[in-house]
Amino acid sequence: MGVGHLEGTAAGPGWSEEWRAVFASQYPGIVRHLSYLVGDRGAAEDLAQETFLRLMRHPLREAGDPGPWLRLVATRLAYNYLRTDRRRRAREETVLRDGTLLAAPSAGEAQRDEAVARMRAALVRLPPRDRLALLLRASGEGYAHIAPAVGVRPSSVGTILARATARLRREYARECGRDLVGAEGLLATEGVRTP
Amino acid sequence: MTHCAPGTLWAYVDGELGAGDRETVERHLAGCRACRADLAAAGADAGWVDRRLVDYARGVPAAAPDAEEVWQRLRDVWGAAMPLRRAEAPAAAAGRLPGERRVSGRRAGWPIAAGAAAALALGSLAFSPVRAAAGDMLQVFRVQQVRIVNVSDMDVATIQSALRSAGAVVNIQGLAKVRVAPNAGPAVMTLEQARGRVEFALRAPTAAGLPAGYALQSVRVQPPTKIDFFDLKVPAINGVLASLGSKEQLPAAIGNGGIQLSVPSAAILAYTATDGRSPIQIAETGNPQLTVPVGVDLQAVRQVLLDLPFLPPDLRQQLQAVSDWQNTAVIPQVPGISDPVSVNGAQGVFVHPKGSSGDTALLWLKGNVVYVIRGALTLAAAEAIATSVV
Repeated sequence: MGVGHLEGTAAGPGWSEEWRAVFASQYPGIVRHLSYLVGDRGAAEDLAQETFLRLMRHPLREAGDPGPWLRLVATRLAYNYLRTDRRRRAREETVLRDGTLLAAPSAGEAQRDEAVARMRAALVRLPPRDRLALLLRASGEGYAHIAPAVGVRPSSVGTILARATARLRREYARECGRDLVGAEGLLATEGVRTP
Repeated sequence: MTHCAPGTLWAYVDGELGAGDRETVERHLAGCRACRADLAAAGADAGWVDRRLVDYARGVPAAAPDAEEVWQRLRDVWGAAMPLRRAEAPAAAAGRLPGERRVSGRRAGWPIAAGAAAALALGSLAFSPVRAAAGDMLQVFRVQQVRIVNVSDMDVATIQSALRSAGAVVNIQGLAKVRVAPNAGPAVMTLEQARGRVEFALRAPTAAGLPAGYALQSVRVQPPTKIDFFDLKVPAINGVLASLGSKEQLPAAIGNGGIQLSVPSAAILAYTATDGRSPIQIAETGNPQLTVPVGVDLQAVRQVLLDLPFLPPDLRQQLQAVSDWQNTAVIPQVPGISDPVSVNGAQGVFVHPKGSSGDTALLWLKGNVVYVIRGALTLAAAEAIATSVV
Protein backbone atom coordinates (compact mmCIF):
# COMPACT_ATOMS: atom_id res chain seq x y z
CA MET A 1 0.00 0.00 0.00
CA GLY A 2 1.27 3.39 -0.89
CA VAL A 3 1.63 6.06 1.68
CA GLY A 4 2.87 8.91 -0.43
CA HIS A 5 -0.61 10.29 -0.91
CA LEU A 6 -1.61 10.09 2.72
CA GLU A 7 -2.38 13.26 4.49
CA GLY A 8 -3.86 14.38 7.71
CA THR A 9 -7.58 13.96 8.15
CA ALA A 10 -10.21 15.25 10.47
CA ALA A 11 -9.30 12.43 12.87
CA GLY A 12 -6.13 14.34 13.59
CA PRO A 13 -3.27 15.37 11.39
CA GLY A 14 -1.51 12.24 10.26
CA TRP A 15 -3.19 9.86 12.70
CA SER A 16 -5.63 8.64 10.11
CA GLU A 17 -7.19 5.31 9.23
CA GLU A 18 -4.84 4.95 6.27
CA TRP A 19 -1.82 5.24 8.49
CA ARG A 20 -3.36 2.83 10.90
CA ALA A 21 -3.68 0.23 8.12
CA VAL A 22 -0.05 0.75 7.08
CA PHE A 23 1.00 0.43 10.70
CA ALA A 24 -1.00 -2.74 11.23
CA SER A 25 0.50 -4.42 8.19
CA GLN A 26 4.11 -3.31 8.66
CA TYR A 27 4.74 -2.94 12.38
CA PRO A 28 4.98 -6.64 13.35
CA GLY A 29 7.50 -7.33 10.60
CA ILE A 30 9.64 -4.36 11.55
CA VAL A 31 9.62 -5.37 15.21
CA ARG A 32 10.72 -8.83 14.24
CA HIS A 33 13.47 -7.53 11.99
CA LEU A 34 14.70 -5.28 14.80
CA SER A 35 14.45 -8.03 17.43
CA TYR A 36 16.64 -10.15 15.17
CA LEU A 37 19.18 -7.37 14.81
CA VAL A 38 19.37 -6.00 18.36
CA GLY A 39 18.38 -9.14 20.26
CA ASP A 40 16.10 -7.31 22.67
CA ARG A 41 12.38 -7.13 22.17
CA GLY A 42 11.82 -3.99 24.24
CA ALA A 43 14.47 -2.04 22.40
CA ALA A 44 13.14 -3.42 19.12
CA GLU A 45 9.68 -2.06 19.83
CA ASP A 46 11.04 1.35 20.75
CA LEU A 47 13.11 1.50 17.58
CA ALA A 48 10.19 0.27 15.47
CA GLN A 49 8.01 3.07 16.80
CA GLU A 50 10.67 5.60 16.02
CA THR A 51 10.94 4.16 12.51
CA PHE A 52 7.23 4.69 11.94
CA LEU A 53 7.26 8.12 13.44
CA ARG A 54 9.88 9.10 10.90
CA LEU A 55 7.80 7.79 8.05
CA MET A 56 4.71 9.56 9.31
CA ARG A 57 6.45 12.87 9.78
CA HIS A 58 8.02 12.69 6.38
CA PRO A 59 5.84 10.59 4.11
CA LEU A 60 7.42 9.20 0.97
CA ARG A 61 6.72 11.26 -2.07
CA GLU A 62 5.97 8.36 -4.38
CA ALA A 63 3.19 5.95 -3.63
CA GLY A 64 4.47 2.44 -3.25
CA ASP A 65 5.38 -0.26 -0.76
CA PRO A 66 6.91 1.48 2.28
CA GLY A 67 8.34 -1.86 3.47
CA PRO A 68 11.85 -1.54 2.06
CA TRP A 69 12.15 2.06 3.27
CA LEU A 70 11.00 1.10 6.76
CA ARG A 71 13.39 -1.82 6.82
CA LEU A 72 16.33 0.30 5.81
CA VAL A 73 15.56 3.02 8.35
CA ALA A 74 15.01 0.39 11.03
CA THR A 75 18.36 -1.16 10.20
CA ARG A 76 20.12 2.18 10.48
CA LEU A 77 18.42 2.90 13.78
CA ALA A 78 19.48 -0.55 15.00
CA TYR A 79 23.06 0.17 14.03
CA ASN A 80 23.01 3.52 15.84
CA TYR A 81 21.43 1.90 18.86
CA LEU A 82 24.04 -0.84 18.98
CA ARG A 83 26.84 1.66 18.55
CA THR A 84 25.77 4.39 20.92
CA ASP A 85 24.19 2.62 23.86
CA ARG A 86 27.24 2.15 25.99
CA ARG A 87 25.38 0.18 28.60
CA ARG A 88 23.85 -2.13 26.03
CA ARG A 89 26.40 -4.86 26.42
CA ALA A 90 26.11 -5.12 30.18
CA ARG A 91 22.36 -5.04 29.86
CA GLU A 92 22.24 -7.73 27.23
CA GLU A 93 24.49 -9.94 29.22
CA THR A 94 22.13 -9.59 32.16
CA VAL A 95 19.22 -10.45 29.88
CA LEU A 96 21.07 -13.50 28.72
CA ARG A 97 21.90 -14.55 32.24
CA ASP A 98 18.33 -14.12 33.41
CA GLY A 99 17.04 -15.77 30.29
CA THR A 100 19.11 -18.88 30.69
CA LEU A 101 18.30 -19.11 34.37
CA LEU A 102 14.58 -18.66 33.90
CA ALA A 103 14.07 -20.57 30.68
CA ALA A 104 12.78 -24.07 31.13
CA PRO A 105 12.70 -25.41 27.57
CA SER A 106 11.02 -28.70 26.85
CA ALA A 107 13.32 -31.64 26.43
CA GLY A 108 12.82 -31.79 22.65
CA GLU A 109 13.67 -28.14 22.09
CA ALA A 110 16.32 -27.91 24.74
CA GLN A 111 19.22 -28.65 22.49
CA ARG A 112 18.32 -26.14 19.82
CA ASP A 113 17.40 -23.53 22.40
CA GLU A 114 20.76 -23.93 24.00
CA ALA A 115 22.49 -23.44 20.70
CA VAL A 116 20.41 -20.33 20.07
CA ALA A 117 21.16 -18.96 23.52
CA ARG A 118 24.87 -19.50 22.95
CA MET A 119 24.65 -17.75 19.62
CA ARG A 120 22.88 -14.81 21.22
CA ALA A 121 25.57 -14.56 23.85
CA ALA A 122 28.30 -14.75 21.22
CA LEU A 123 26.65 -12.08 19.04
CA VAL A 124 26.47 -9.67 21.97
CA ARG A 125 30.25 -9.70 22.18
CA LEU A 126 30.79 -8.77 18.56
CA PRO A 127 31.36 -5.16 17.55
CA PRO A 128 28.07 -3.73 16.23
CA ARG A 129 29.32 -3.52 12.66
CA ASP A 130 30.37 -7.18 12.61
CA ARG A 131 27.16 -8.30 14.19
CA LEU A 132 24.95 -6.35 11.86
CA ALA A 133 26.83 -7.36 8.73
CA LEU A 134 26.56 -11.04 9.59
CA LEU A 135 22.90 -10.87 10.51
CA LEU A 136 21.97 -8.89 7.42
CA ARG A 137 23.83 -11.32 5.19
CA ALA A 138 22.15 -14.29 6.86
CA SER A 139 18.77 -12.65 6.28
CA GLY A 140 19.51 -12.58 2.56
CA GLU A 141 20.81 -9.04 2.02
CA GLY A 142 23.40 -8.51 -0.68
CA TYR A 143 26.64 -6.59 -0.13
CA ALA A 144 25.11 -3.57 -1.85
CA HIS A 145 22.56 -3.31 0.96
CA ILE A 146 24.84 -4.32 3.81
CA ALA A 147 27.43 -1.67 2.92
CA PRO A 148 25.33 1.47 3.49
CA ALA A 149 23.71 -0.06 6.56
CA VAL A 150 27.04 -0.40 8.33
CA GLY A 151 28.65 2.63 6.69
CA VAL A 152 31.34 1.07 4.51
CA ARG A 153 32.06 0.70 0.81
CA PRO A 154 30.62 -2.44 -0.83
CA SER A 155 34.15 -3.62 -1.59
CA SER A 156 34.88 -3.80 2.16
CA VAL A 157 31.91 -5.98 3.06
CA GLY A 158 33.70 -9.25 2.30
CA THR A 159 36.57 -8.29 4.59
CA ILE A 160 34.18 -7.39 7.39
CA LEU A 161 32.30 -10.67 7.00
CA ALA A 162 35.50 -12.73 7.02
CA ARG A 163 36.74 -11.06 10.18
CA ALA A 164 33.34 -11.09 11.85
CA THR A 165 32.88 -14.80 11.24
CA ALA A 166 36.27 -15.59 12.74
CA ARG A 167 35.31 -13.57 15.83
CA LEU A 168 31.91 -15.17 16.04
CA ARG A 169 33.35 -18.67 15.89
CA ARG A 170 35.76 -17.78 18.67
CA GLU A 171 33.04 -16.31 20.88
CA TYR A 172 30.70 -19.18 20.14
CA ALA A 173 33.34 -21.72 21.14
CA ARG A 174 33.89 -19.76 24.33
CA GLU A 175 30.16 -19.84 25.07
CA CYS A 176 30.10 -23.61 24.66
CA GLY A 177 32.87 -23.94 27.21
CA ARG A 178 31.16 -21.53 29.60
CA ASP A 179 27.87 -23.40 29.38
CA LEU A 180 29.47 -26.60 30.57
CA VAL A 181 30.70 -24.86 33.70
CA GLY A 182 27.31 -23.23 34.20
CA ALA A 183 25.43 -26.49 33.79
CA GLU A 184 27.52 -28.14 36.48
CA GLY A 185 26.83 -25.26 38.81
CA LEU A 186 23.08 -25.56 38.24
CA LEU A 187 23.12 -29.28 38.80
CA ALA A 188 24.92 -28.77 42.06
CA THR A 189 22.36 -26.24 43.31
CA GLU A 190 19.46 -28.43 42.22
CA GLY A 191 20.89 -31.22 44.31
CA VAL A 192 21.19 -33.48 41.31
CA ARG A 193 23.91 -36.01 41.78
CA THR A 194 25.96 -37.16 38.92
CA PRO A 195 27.15 -40.70 39.14
CA MET B 1 48.00 -11.25 -8.84
CA THR B 2 49.11 -11.66 -5.25
CA HIS B 3 47.30 -14.09 -2.96
CA CYS B 4 43.57 -13.64 -2.45
CA ALA B 5 42.52 -11.59 0.56
CA PRO B 6 39.94 -13.29 2.84
CA GLY B 7 37.39 -10.60 2.01
CA THR B 8 37.81 -11.26 -1.69
CA LEU B 9 37.27 -14.97 -1.14
CA TRP B 10 34.09 -14.26 0.83
CA ALA B 11 32.81 -12.03 -1.95
CA TYR B 12 33.66 -14.82 -4.38
CA VAL B 13 31.80 -17.41 -2.29
CA ASP B 14 28.81 -15.10 -1.98
CA GLY B 15 28.77 -14.40 -5.71
CA GLU B 16 29.38 -10.70 -5.08
CA LEU B 17 32.41 -10.22 -7.33
CA GLY B 18 32.04 -8.51 -10.66
CA ALA B 19 32.81 -10.55 -13.76
CA GLY B 20 36.31 -9.14 -14.15
CA ASP B 21 37.32 -9.72 -10.55
CA ARG B 22 35.85 -13.18 -10.60
CA GLU B 23 37.94 -14.21 -13.58
CA THR B 24 41.07 -12.83 -11.99
CA VAL B 25 40.41 -14.78 -8.80
CA GLU B 26 39.64 -17.97 -10.65
CA ARG B 27 42.82 -17.70 -12.70
CA HIS B 28 44.84 -17.28 -9.55
CA LEU B 29 43.09 -20.10 -7.71
CA ALA B 30 43.82 -22.50 -10.51
CA GLY B 31 47.53 -22.12 -9.87
CA CYS B 32 47.68 -21.49 -6.10
CA ARG B 33 47.13 -24.30 -3.66
CA ALA B 34 47.32 -22.03 -0.59
CA CYS B 35 44.48 -19.84 -1.85
CA ARG B 36 42.42 -22.88 -2.74
CA ALA B 37 42.75 -23.98 0.87
CA ASP B 38 41.76 -20.49 2.01
CA LEU B 39 38.76 -20.60 -0.30
CA ALA B 40 37.67 -23.90 1.19
CA ALA B 41 38.00 -22.41 4.66
CA ALA B 42 36.02 -19.34 3.69
CA GLY B 43 33.31 -21.57 2.22
CA ALA B 44 33.19 -23.64 5.40
CA ASP B 45 32.99 -20.49 7.53
CA ALA B 46 30.20 -19.09 5.41
CA GLY B 47 28.30 -22.37 5.63
CA TRP B 48 28.75 -22.49 9.38
CA VAL B 49 27.57 -18.95 9.95
CA ASP B 50 24.58 -19.52 7.63
CA ARG B 51 23.44 -22.57 9.56
CA ARG B 52 23.94 -20.97 12.95
CA LEU B 53 22.27 -17.71 12.15
CA VAL B 54 19.31 -19.37 10.46
CA ASP B 55 18.78 -21.26 13.71
CA TYR B 56 19.23 -18.05 15.62
CA ALA B 57 16.66 -16.29 13.45
CA ARG B 58 14.20 -19.07 14.18
CA GLY B 59 14.79 -18.50 17.87
CA VAL B 60 13.72 -14.84 17.66
CA PRO B 61 10.27 -14.76 19.23
CA ALA B 62 7.70 -14.75 16.47
CA ALA B 63 4.88 -13.54 18.70
CA ALA B 64 3.45 -10.66 16.77
CA PRO B 65 3.09 -7.48 18.78
CA ASP B 66 -0.44 -6.23 19.01
CA ALA B 67 -0.10 -3.52 16.37
CA GLU B 68 -3.58 -2.20 17.08
CA GLU B 69 -2.86 -1.65 20.76
CA VAL B 70 0.48 -0.01 20.02
CA TRP B 71 -1.15 2.23 17.43
CA GLN B 72 -3.78 3.38 19.90
CA ARG B 73 -1.14 4.15 22.47
CA LEU B 74 1.06 6.03 20.06
CA ARG B 75 -1.85 8.03 18.78
CA ASP B 76 -2.97 8.88 22.29
CA VAL B 77 0.45 9.83 23.51
CA TRP B 78 2.31 11.14 20.51
CA GLY B 79 -0.77 12.41 18.79
CA ALA B 80 -1.29 14.83 21.64
CA ALA B 81 2.33 15.77 22.19
CA MET B 82 3.47 15.79 18.59
CA PRO B 83 0.77 16.50 16.10
CA LEU B 84 2.07 15.29 12.80
CA ARG B 85 2.53 17.84 10.10
CA ARG B 86 2.52 17.22 6.47
CA ALA B 87 5.99 16.68 5.22
CA GLU B 88 7.85 19.94 5.36
CA ALA B 89 10.49 18.80 2.94
CA PRO B 90 9.36 15.51 1.46
CA ALA B 91 12.26 15.28 -0.94
CA ALA B 92 14.80 15.70 1.79
CA ALA B 93 12.95 13.26 4.00
CA ALA B 94 12.61 10.54 1.43
CA GLY B 95 16.20 11.01 0.38
CA ARG B 96 17.41 11.09 3.95
CA LEU B 97 16.89 7.37 4.34
CA PRO B 98 19.59 6.54 6.75
CA GLY B 99 19.42 9.67 8.83
CA GLU B 100 21.43 10.10 11.96
CA ARG B 101 19.40 10.29 15.12
CA ARG B 102 17.78 13.65 15.11
CA VAL B 103 16.73 14.39 18.61
CA SER B 104 14.95 17.61 19.20
CA GLY B 105 15.43 19.44 22.44
CA ARG B 106 12.11 18.31 23.73
CA ARG B 107 12.71 14.66 23.22
CA ALA B 108 16.25 14.86 24.53
CA GLY B 109 15.23 16.58 27.72
CA TRP B 110 12.18 14.53 28.40
CA PRO B 111 13.79 11.19 29.25
CA ILE B 112 16.22 12.92 31.56
CA ALA B 113 13.43 14.59 33.49
CA ALA B 114 11.46 11.38 33.56
CA GLY B 115 14.48 9.44 34.68
CA ALA B 116 15.09 11.90 37.46
CA ALA B 117 11.43 11.66 38.40
CA ALA B 118 11.67 7.90 38.57
CA ALA B 119 14.82 8.09 40.65
CA LEU B 120 13.10 10.50 42.98
CA ALA B 121 10.00 8.36 43.20
CA LEU B 122 11.97 5.18 43.77
CA GLY B 123 14.32 6.87 46.19
CA SER B 124 11.48 8.37 48.13
CA LEU B 125 9.72 5.04 48.53
CA ALA B 126 11.86 4.62 51.59
CA PHE B 127 10.03 7.62 52.97
CA SER B 128 6.71 6.90 51.36
CA PRO B 129 4.36 7.52 54.26
CA VAL B 130 5.42 11.12 54.58
CA ARG B 131 6.02 11.83 50.95
CA ALA B 132 2.53 12.63 49.84
CA ALA B 133 2.26 14.34 46.51
CA ALA B 134 0.64 17.32 48.13
CA GLY B 135 2.71 20.21 46.94
CA ASP B 136 2.94 21.67 50.40
CA MET B 137 4.52 18.58 51.80
CA LEU B 138 6.90 18.33 48.92
CA GLN B 139 8.05 21.78 49.95
CA VAL B 140 8.73 20.65 53.46
CA PHE B 141 10.92 17.81 52.30
CA ARG B 142 12.45 19.31 49.27
CA VAL B 143 15.84 19.83 50.82
CA GLN B 144 15.93 16.23 51.93
CA GLN B 145 15.01 14.92 48.57
CA VAL B 146 17.49 17.03 46.77
CA ARG B 147 20.27 15.77 48.96
CA ILE B 148 19.31 12.17 48.74
CA VAL B 149 18.88 11.84 45.06
CA ASN B 150 21.30 14.59 44.20
CA VAL B 151 19.14 16.78 42.01
CA SER B 152 19.11 20.56 41.82
CA ASP B 153 16.15 22.78 42.60
CA MET B 154 15.64 23.08 38.89
CA ASP B 155 15.52 19.31 38.60
CA VAL B 156 12.87 19.20 41.29
CA ALA B 157 10.82 21.74 39.41
CA THR B 158 11.23 19.70 36.24
CA ILE B 159 10.22 16.55 38.05
CA GLN B 160 7.16 18.18 39.53
CA SER B 161 6.06 19.49 36.20
CA ALA B 162 6.77 16.13 34.59
CA LEU B 163 4.61 14.39 37.17
CA ARG B 164 1.92 16.99 36.80
CA SER B 165 1.56 16.44 33.09
CA ALA B 166 -1.24 14.07 33.80
CA GLY B 167 -1.73 11.08 31.62
CA ALA B 168 1.63 11.35 29.98
CA VAL B 169 3.44 8.15 29.17
CA VAL B 170 7.15 8.48 28.86
CA ASN B 171 9.83 5.97 28.24
CA ILE B 172 12.45 6.34 30.94
CA GLN B 173 15.46 5.68 28.81
CA GLY B 174 14.01 2.30 27.94
CA LEU B 175 13.89 1.19 31.57
CA ALA B 176 10.25 1.60 32.33
CA LYS B 177 7.29 3.72 31.50
CA VAL B 178 5.59 6.10 33.87
CA ARG B 179 1.99 7.05 33.70
CA VAL B 180 0.46 9.60 36.00
CA ALA B 181 -3.26 9.04 36.15
CA PRO B 182 -5.01 12.21 35.12
CA ASN B 183 -6.78 14.08 37.85
CA ALA B 184 -8.61 17.31 38.06
CA GLY B 185 -6.11 19.15 40.20
CA PRO B 186 -6.94 20.72 43.54
CA ALA B 187 -10.45 21.93 44.18
CA VAL B 188 -11.63 24.49 46.68
CA MET B 189 -14.61 23.45 48.76
CA THR B 190 -16.16 23.70 52.18
CA LEU B 191 -14.89 21.68 55.12
CA GLU B 192 -18.01 19.55 55.02
CA GLN B 193 -17.62 18.81 51.33
CA ALA B 194 -13.98 17.97 51.91
CA ARG B 195 -14.96 15.52 54.64
CA GLY B 196 -17.09 13.67 52.11
CA ARG B 197 -14.31 13.69 49.56
CA VAL B 198 -11.25 12.33 51.36
CA GLU B 199 -10.80 8.65 52.32
CA PHE B 200 -9.86 9.39 55.92
CA ALA B 201 -11.48 11.19 58.82
CA LEU B 202 -10.60 14.82 58.15
CA ARG B 203 -10.03 16.73 61.36
CA ALA B 204 -9.82 20.43 62.01
CA PRO B 205 -8.35 22.26 64.99
CA THR B 206 -10.62 23.91 67.52
CA ALA B 207 -10.69 27.66 67.87
CA ALA B 208 -9.07 27.24 71.26
CA GLY B 209 -6.13 25.43 69.79
CA LEU B 210 -5.42 28.09 67.17
CA PRO B 211 -3.64 31.32 67.99
CA ALA B 212 -6.12 34.10 68.64
CA GLY B 213 -7.57 35.84 65.59
CA TYR B 214 -7.18 32.97 63.09
CA ALA B 215 -10.14 31.64 61.12
CA LEU B 216 -10.59 29.04 58.43
CA GLN B 217 -10.15 30.77 55.11
CA SER B 218 -10.18 27.95 52.54
CA VAL B 219 -10.14 24.21 52.14
CA ARG B 220 -8.46 22.67 49.13
CA VAL B 221 -8.66 19.00 48.26
CA GLN B 222 -6.08 17.40 46.04
CA PRO B 223 -7.65 14.31 44.46
CA PRO B 224 -5.88 10.96 44.69
CA THR B 225 -3.05 10.36 42.27
CA LYS B 226 -1.83 7.11 40.89
CA ILE B 227 1.60 6.74 39.45
CA ASP B 228 2.22 3.61 37.42
CA PHE B 229 5.63 2.32 36.61
CA PHE B 230 4.99 -0.25 33.95
CA ASP B 231 6.84 -2.15 31.22
CA LEU B 232 9.70 -2.46 33.65
CA LYS B 233 12.78 -3.81 31.95
CA VAL B 234 14.15 -5.46 35.06
CA PRO B 235 17.45 -6.63 33.60
CA ALA B 236 18.05 -3.14 32.21
CA ILE B 237 17.13 -1.52 35.52
CA ASN B 238 19.45 -3.88 37.28
CA GLY B 239 22.12 -2.91 34.82
CA VAL B 240 21.64 0.72 35.76
CA LEU B 241 21.62 -0.15 39.47
CA ALA B 242 24.85 -2.03 38.96
CA SER B 243 26.36 0.92 37.13
CA LEU B 244 25.37 3.10 40.11
CA GLY B 245 27.44 0.76 42.22
CA SER B 246 24.56 -1.25 43.63
CA LYS B 247 25.22 -4.89 44.33
CA GLU B 248 21.58 -5.76 44.91
CA GLN B 249 19.25 -6.62 42.05
CA LEU B 250 15.54 -6.14 41.66
CA PRO B 251 13.67 -9.45 41.55
CA ALA B 252 12.61 -10.39 38.03
CA ALA B 253 9.01 -10.91 39.18
CA ILE B 254 8.60 -7.16 39.60
CA GLY B 255 8.53 -6.82 35.84
CA ASN B 256 5.33 -8.85 35.61
CA GLY B 257 2.94 -6.20 36.74
CA GLY B 258 4.94 -3.08 37.34
CA ILE B 259 4.72 -0.87 40.39
CA GLN B 260 1.81 1.32 41.31
CA LEU B 261 2.15 4.14 43.75
CA SER B 262 -1.21 5.40 44.92
CA VAL B 263 -1.18 8.70 46.66
CA PRO B 264 -4.46 9.28 48.48
CA SER B 265 -6.25 12.57 48.38
CA ALA B 266 -4.96 15.37 50.54
CA ALA B 267 -6.83 18.19 52.22
CA ILE B 268 -5.18 21.52 52.92
CA LEU B 269 -6.88 23.77 55.43
CA ALA B 270 -5.73 27.37 55.28
CA TYR B 271 -6.23 29.67 58.28
CA THR B 272 -5.67 33.38 58.07
CA ALA B 273 -5.58 36.18 60.57
CA THR B 274 -7.29 39.51 60.07
CA ASP B 275 -4.26 41.45 61.29
CA GLY B 276 -1.89 40.31 58.55
CA ARG B 277 0.00 37.64 60.48
CA SER B 278 1.19 34.89 58.13
CA PRO B 279 -1.29 32.13 57.33
CA ILE B 280 -1.29 28.71 58.92
CA GLN B 281 -1.81 25.62 56.82
CA ILE B 282 -2.86 22.21 57.99
CA ALA B 283 -2.39 19.45 55.45
CA GLU B 284 -3.77 15.98 55.98
CA THR B 285 -3.38 12.99 53.74
CA GLY B 286 -3.67 9.23 53.91
CA ASN B 287 -0.66 6.99 53.60
CA PRO B 288 0.54 6.49 50.07
CA GLN B 289 0.21 2.92 49.02
CA LEU B 290 2.70 0.99 47.03
CA THR B 291 1.51 -1.94 44.96
CA VAL B 292 3.86 -4.49 43.53
CA PRO B 293 3.10 -7.75 41.71
CA VAL B 294 2.35 -10.89 43.65
CA GLY B 295 5.49 -12.89 44.20
CA VAL B 296 7.76 -9.92 44.64
CA ASP B 297 9.77 -10.06 47.80
CA LEU B 298 9.34 -6.56 49.19
CA GLN B 299 12.27 -7.14 51.46
CA ALA B 300 14.42 -7.61 48.39
CA VAL B 301 13.11 -4.39 46.85
CA ARG B 302 13.78 -2.53 50.05
CA GLN B 303 17.27 -3.93 50.10
CA VAL B 304 17.84 -2.62 46.59
CA LEU B 305 16.70 0.84 47.64
CA LEU B 306 18.77 0.81 50.78
CA ASP B 307 21.72 -0.32 48.73
CA LEU B 308 21.60 2.68 46.42
CA PRO B 309 25.04 4.16 46.87
CA PHE B 310 23.87 7.75 46.92
CA LEU B 311 22.13 7.19 50.25
CA PRO B 312 24.29 8.66 52.98
CA PRO B 313 25.59 5.81 55.17
CA ASP B 314 24.12 7.15 58.41
CA LEU B 315 20.73 7.54 56.78
CA ARG B 316 20.95 4.03 55.45
CA GLN B 317 21.75 2.72 58.90
CA GLN B 318 18.75 4.47 60.40
CA LEU B 319 16.50 3.07 57.71
CA GLN B 320 17.84 -0.40 58.21
CA ALA B 321 17.20 -0.12 61.92
CA VAL B 322 13.45 0.31 61.35
CA SER B 323 12.14 -3.16 62.06
CA ASP B 324 8.44 -2.81 61.22
CA TRP B 325 9.32 -0.90 58.09
CA GLN B 326 6.24 -1.72 56.03
CA ASN B 327 4.06 0.18 58.47
CA THR B 328 6.42 2.80 59.69
CA ALA B 329 6.54 6.42 58.75
CA VAL B 330 10.17 7.19 58.26
CA ILE B 331 10.66 10.88 58.71
CA PRO B 332 13.85 12.49 57.57
CA GLN B 333 15.63 14.38 60.27
CA VAL B 334 18.32 16.91 59.79
CA PRO B 335 20.20 17.88 62.96
CA GLY B 336 19.72 21.56 63.74
CA ILE B 337 16.84 21.84 61.28
CA SER B 338 14.44 19.17 62.42
CA ASP B 339 13.93 17.50 65.77
CA PRO B 340 11.98 14.45 66.78
CA VAL B 341 9.02 15.31 68.98
CA SER B 342 6.08 13.52 70.44
CA VAL B 343 2.72 14.76 69.16
CA ASN B 344 -0.44 13.42 70.76
CA GLY B 345 1.48 10.35 71.75
CA ALA B 346 2.74 9.73 68.22
CA GLN B 347 6.23 10.14 66.86
CA GLY B 348 6.59 13.34 64.89
CA VAL B 349 9.12 15.86 63.71
CA PHE B 350 9.40 19.62 64.07
CA VAL B 351 11.09 21.30 61.11
CA HIS B 352 12.54 24.76 61.70
CA PRO B 353 14.79 25.78 58.82
CA LYS B 354 17.35 28.41 59.69
CA GLY B 355 17.54 31.68 57.87
CA SER B 356 14.20 31.21 56.21
CA SER B 357 11.07 33.27 56.61
CA GLY B 358 10.50 31.80 60.04
CA ASP B 359 8.11 29.22 58.67
CA THR B 360 8.14 25.96 60.53
CA ALA B 361 6.39 22.65 60.06
CA LEU B 362 5.16 20.11 62.54
CA LEU B 363 4.55 16.70 61.06
CA TRP B 364 3.21 13.51 62.58
CA LEU B 365 1.44 10.33 61.66
CA LYS B 366 -1.52 8.99 63.52
CA GLY B 367 -3.97 6.30 62.51
CA ASN B 368 -2.72 6.15 58.92
CA VAL B 369 -3.12 9.85 58.40
CA VAL B 370 -0.19 12.17 57.89
CA TYR B 371 -0.64 15.62 59.43
CA VAL B 372 1.45 18.67 58.68
CA ILE B 373 1.04 22.07 60.28
CA ARG B 374 2.89 24.90 58.58
CA GLY B 375 3.21 28.49 59.59
CA ALA B 376 5.36 30.98 61.41
CA LEU B 377 4.88 29.03 64.61
CA THR B 378 6.95 28.10 67.61
CA LEU B 379 6.99 24.46 68.65
CA ALA B 380 4.66 25.27 71.54
CA ALA B 381 2.15 27.07 69.30
CA ALA B 382 2.20 24.26 66.76
CA GLU B 383 1.78 21.69 69.50
CA ALA B 384 -1.24 23.56 70.83
CA ILE B 385 -2.87 23.37 67.41
CA ALA B 386 -1.93 19.71 67.03
CA THR B 387 -3.46 18.82 70.36
CA SER B 388 -6.73 20.41 69.38
CA VAL B 389 -6.80 18.61 66.00
CA VAL B 390 -7.27 15.21 67.52
